Amino acid sequence: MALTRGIVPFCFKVIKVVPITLQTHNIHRWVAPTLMELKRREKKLGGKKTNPRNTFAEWNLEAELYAFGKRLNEEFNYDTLLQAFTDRSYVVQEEMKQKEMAIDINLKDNKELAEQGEQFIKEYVQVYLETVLPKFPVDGVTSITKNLTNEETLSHISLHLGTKDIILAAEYPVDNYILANTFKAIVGALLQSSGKERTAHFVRDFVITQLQGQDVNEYWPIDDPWSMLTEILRKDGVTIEPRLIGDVGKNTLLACYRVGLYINKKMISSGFGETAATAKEMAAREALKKVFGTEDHMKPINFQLEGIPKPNENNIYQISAS
Amino acid sequence: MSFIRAGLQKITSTFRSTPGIISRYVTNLAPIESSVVPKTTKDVIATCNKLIEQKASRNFAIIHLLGKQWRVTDGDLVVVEGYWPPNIGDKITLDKVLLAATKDFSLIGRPLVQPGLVTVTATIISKGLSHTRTHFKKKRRKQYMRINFQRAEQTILRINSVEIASKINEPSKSNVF
Amino acid sequence: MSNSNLFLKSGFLRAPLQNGVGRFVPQLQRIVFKFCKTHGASRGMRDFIEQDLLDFAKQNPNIVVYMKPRRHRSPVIVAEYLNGDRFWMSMHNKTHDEITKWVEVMRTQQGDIAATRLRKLQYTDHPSIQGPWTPFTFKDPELNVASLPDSKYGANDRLPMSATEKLRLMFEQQKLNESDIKTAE
Repeated sequence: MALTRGIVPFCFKVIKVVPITLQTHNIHRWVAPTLMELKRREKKLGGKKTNPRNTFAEWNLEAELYAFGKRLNEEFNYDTLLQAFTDRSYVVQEEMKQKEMAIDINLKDNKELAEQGEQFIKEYVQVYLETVLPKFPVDGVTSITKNLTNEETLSHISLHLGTKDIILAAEYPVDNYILANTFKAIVGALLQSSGKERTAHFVRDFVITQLQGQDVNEYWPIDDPWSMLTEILRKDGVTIEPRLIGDVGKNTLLACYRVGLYINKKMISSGFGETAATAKEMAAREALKKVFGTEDHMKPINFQLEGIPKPNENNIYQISAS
Repeated sequence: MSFIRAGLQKITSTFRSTPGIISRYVTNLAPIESSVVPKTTKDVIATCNKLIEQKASRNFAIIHLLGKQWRVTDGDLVVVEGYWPPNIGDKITLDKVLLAATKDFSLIGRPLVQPGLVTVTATIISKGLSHTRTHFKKKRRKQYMRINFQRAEQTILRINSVEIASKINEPSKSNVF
Repeated sequence: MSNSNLFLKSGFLRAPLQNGVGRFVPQLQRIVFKFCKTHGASRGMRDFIEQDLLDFAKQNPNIVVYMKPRRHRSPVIVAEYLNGDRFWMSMHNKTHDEITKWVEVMRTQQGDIAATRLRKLQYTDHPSIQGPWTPFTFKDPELNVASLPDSKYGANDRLPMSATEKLRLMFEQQKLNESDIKTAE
């Protein structure tokens, strides 16, 4: 009996322990701590390192440049294209290396090509937009051009043309400035090898098509649409009359007013707003869109215009934004 | 009996009279010129034609493509699922137009808009496979469980333009179909 | 059971860089064939390289083709796209035909499109062209000058006809008929 008495508590202990040890984990217990430790060490060494694509064994710069031209359906001069992909930082880095090795190979960076390209892009986009948006004011067209040719848009285009891996720069991954600069340089290189018309079509197909699905009015903020509208209409000798033509939920948080603008008892536009004043402003905006020919249901912008359009400044509204 | 007789008379009269029951099943294939168009209709058509010439607004169309109907306008993206021969980079015209419209008017086909009146062009930009879709069926307490995986071919189309090409109510010069 | 869909990203249909609006740009930029020269698992891949690869490279000058022989490792194809996607696929024990088909898929797709579940099969920037409906759309302009409450606009004509109303109408009809008969006499 004494023996069994001695064993019983021992048995209980065993029974208590067994279910815990039999519990299974789908993911091993040591996985998470190990991963955390690895992550910590990686962080200590300065974050995750991405190896430049052009340091891989499977990399051939010549083939990449050839395919780059074929992909875009353009004929590039190989040397010019290589120069377009060479960033200033890479040239500096190479020169330092060459000094150490005591050799001297002249490398050209893409600064000049980028300048040529930038100038061409800006001029062409401006003229193109003036042609396809004939009623839109010059100020507006200029601000659209500014938006289309800024660093953000151009770097986005450049990235999606596959320049990221080909660019010769000191850093990797390259920043937006270098990407945009390379795109400008590519346009410059194309200008040298294929002439103005082909380059114009290149810019049209990749830069101007970024306007697809965009509302052009949003690129040009108008502070005071009402005074701008009255000024335009005063030149034509017409007076405009706003009228409240509908309201819903007055004196509530969700009030909605509708104001229509009338010329000679004919409605030209209407706008909605939470107060009558905002509704009037919105109506003025709608009317301005009508004047500029950029309503929501406007004919889609023509992305197929051939050749370089000639600047025509006669039929553009010259408005000073007041 | 009198009811039946009256009913029979009614049926025979519908067959005998000229715009009878049969005419409802026969498509009116007579050329457009032969039917007289009322004056108000003429005015409406003239206004619509004028609007088309001015190219005043964005157009949209409802097209029939591989058993599905899509509402498309310039710059839209459409995914066609299933086997479809066109390859990437091809430019195609979508001819089965059920409805075409601008801001101000709509042309409704019966069932198709007159061939050659509306041109919808598209470019094929991508052909690939969809993600893996899991079809899992289970009936409780019946020892029934089935699992299937499938991936559909997906073709992405970019709609380039929706244009109302010629004038309304003018017979098309070439028969597309 | 498949749990692979639990972490599947979902997204909407997009095309990189407005592809197709201007000129069409094929989206596959480079493809790497990794294989072994002796191992049996790479047999299909070796057949493909011997028979089809030259034609493939000639027909697609826009794609950079790399080959990477590695000893006794399974064959792999890696496709890189212009939008930055990298599509890795094992070709272990795959036959020549299967590899031809997969290469064709990699060539024609615009990125790793199978990695996202499309929520919609259509994309449009212009959901409405003839204008969306608003509560003001078909409203009678007469209401603008009306001073409310007005019995004309406030009348409730939405309820079904009540029994009392029906009776009243029937009674009035009857009266009319009676008067007709009387006048006929």
